[in-house]
Amino acid sequence: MPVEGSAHNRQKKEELLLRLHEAEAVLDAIRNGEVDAVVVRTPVGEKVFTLEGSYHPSCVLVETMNEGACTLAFDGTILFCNSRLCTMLDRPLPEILGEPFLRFVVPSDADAFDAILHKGRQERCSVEIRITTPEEKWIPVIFSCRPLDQDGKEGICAVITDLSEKIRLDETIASGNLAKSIIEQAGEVIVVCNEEGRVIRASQLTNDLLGKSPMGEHFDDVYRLTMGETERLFTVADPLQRRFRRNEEVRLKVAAETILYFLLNAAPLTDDGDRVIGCVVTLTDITYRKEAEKNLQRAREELEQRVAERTLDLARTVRELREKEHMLLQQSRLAAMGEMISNIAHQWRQPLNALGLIIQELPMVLEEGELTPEFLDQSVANAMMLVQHMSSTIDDFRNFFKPDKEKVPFRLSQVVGNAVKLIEASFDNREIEITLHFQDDPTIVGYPNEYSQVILNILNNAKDAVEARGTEKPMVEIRIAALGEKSLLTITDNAGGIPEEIIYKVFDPHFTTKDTQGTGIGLFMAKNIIEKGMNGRVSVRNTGTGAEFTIEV
Amino acid sequence: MERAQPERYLLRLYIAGRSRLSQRAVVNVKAICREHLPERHILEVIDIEEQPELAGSHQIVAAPTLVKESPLPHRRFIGDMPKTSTILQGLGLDPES
Repeated sequence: MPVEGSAHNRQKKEELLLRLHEAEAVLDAIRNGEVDAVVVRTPVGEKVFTLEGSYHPSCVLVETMNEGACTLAFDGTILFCNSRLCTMLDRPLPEILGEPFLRFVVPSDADAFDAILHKGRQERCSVEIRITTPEEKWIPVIFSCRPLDQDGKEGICAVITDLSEKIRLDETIASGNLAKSIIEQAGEVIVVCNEEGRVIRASQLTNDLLGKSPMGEHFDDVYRLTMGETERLFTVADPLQRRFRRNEEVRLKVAAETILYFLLNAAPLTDDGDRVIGCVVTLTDITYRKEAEKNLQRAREELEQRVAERTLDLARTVRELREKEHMLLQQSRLAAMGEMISNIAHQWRQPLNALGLIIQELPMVLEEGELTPEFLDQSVANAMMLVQHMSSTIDDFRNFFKPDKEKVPFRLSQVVGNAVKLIEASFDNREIEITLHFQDDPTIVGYPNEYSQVILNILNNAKDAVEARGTEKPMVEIRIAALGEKSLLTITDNAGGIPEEIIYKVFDPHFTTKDTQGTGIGLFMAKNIIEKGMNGRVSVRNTGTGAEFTIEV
Repeated sequence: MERAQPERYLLRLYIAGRSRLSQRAVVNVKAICREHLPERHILEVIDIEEQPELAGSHQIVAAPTLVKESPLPHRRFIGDMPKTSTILQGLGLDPES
């Protein structure tokens, strides 16, 4: 088919012309320096030959420099880019070329970048910005640029310096310096060991402690630390094998007689991959504290011993006091009995005389033949009356000295009367005058017998005093009055009074002015009865002519 | 009457490493594509220094070379392609045609 054949030939011819045209274009391009590499087929495959000139020495320099470099059109399109910039942006070259540089700038730094791009058309300038990788890793860089006339076209030449390494380095140096400074100035023993346990850093205090630098030595060789109260030694293998030690007490013998105590903390040091690369051991000196604790313990033991001794002393004193009190009671009782016997003796003297007369009269009357049954009856009746009287006297005394069991109301005049009745005979015998002045007759609540005993004691003292002083016209006055709700009883004698230097001691136990005659108990018991038993008050004063005792209840 | 969908272009640019003209070719071809074939092109950049076997199989003799794989007919352009009008004509995108 000639038509088809002719069309086929024409098509073939066009293809051949096209290929010829392309071949000529290749040759022209090579001749005009428009290609920078040719491909040559060799027995071992294709080889690419880069034409000399496409890599100018300055290009080689740009390709091997450690900074990113690129040329930009005024609109920021990347026209050329070196391999370092590709590495920084973590993208292949074709992905970067022809793209606006802004695409690789962190959005918040876009304004700063635009400003510097604008300025870079005119002059050399630089700015710190952050560029970003496909994985959104931000890299801090210094973007420096200046105007460029490239092949007759205006543009911008830029150099991008990665700051992350520098920042990391600065941070590492800063943290290293900080750590070094902290360790050296620390007030504690801080030792850093490598993974073999050898000391690679130590605080100044460590040198002071050991008297030499431990650097390079194995920790266990330098520090023989005994754990707690045991004899087990601490080893740096513990923290190196991730066995932490927290605030454990250890001992270090630094001289024959000197043992220092520390709190030990030990922990492993790990790298970013959690691999143990060493350990840190800190020792806090607690020797002073331990000493203080020991001293405290010693002081506590001493104190306890002294307390025990004092407790024993106290118990002994209490026992002695009880014994004395018991003795006082006994003495008081004996004194009271003596008083009673003395008073009974006075009371009985007259009736005994009378009884004696009656009995002596009987044989005389019989002798005279005048003893009649009536006379005998009368004599017996008289004698019995006297015996009855003496018997009742004993009852009076017995009742009087019987201690009261409980408080009862009583009239003061009655109690005073009873007491006076008991000593009346002995006062009469000594011609001592007793006068009673009852201004009021108050009733009080208390122990009547004991109150009587108090009056008796004071009256006996008055009797002894007038006797001792040989007072002429001895007399004792007893007055009773009411003072509001209280009763007031005063007993005044005219025996000259009590010397002022001893008057404040008269109520003390065992204080007496009567030499061997007195026990020093009477007034002491009187004060006890009135003040402790009946919430009253006993006092004494000198009137000028004698002593005056006052009882307020 | 429905308008036919514009044809998609598959372009392959063969470059030789980081050499100057190859870099310039990348910038120029990207600019042409962005301006004249927006949203309807695929551009593959092949470094024949890294993959010399591809240069052989695609009968590439020098770099930079741009090959229009589709639509047919195949066309190839050598050099850094500074003259946009020549390329456009070759790609069948001559604005005057």
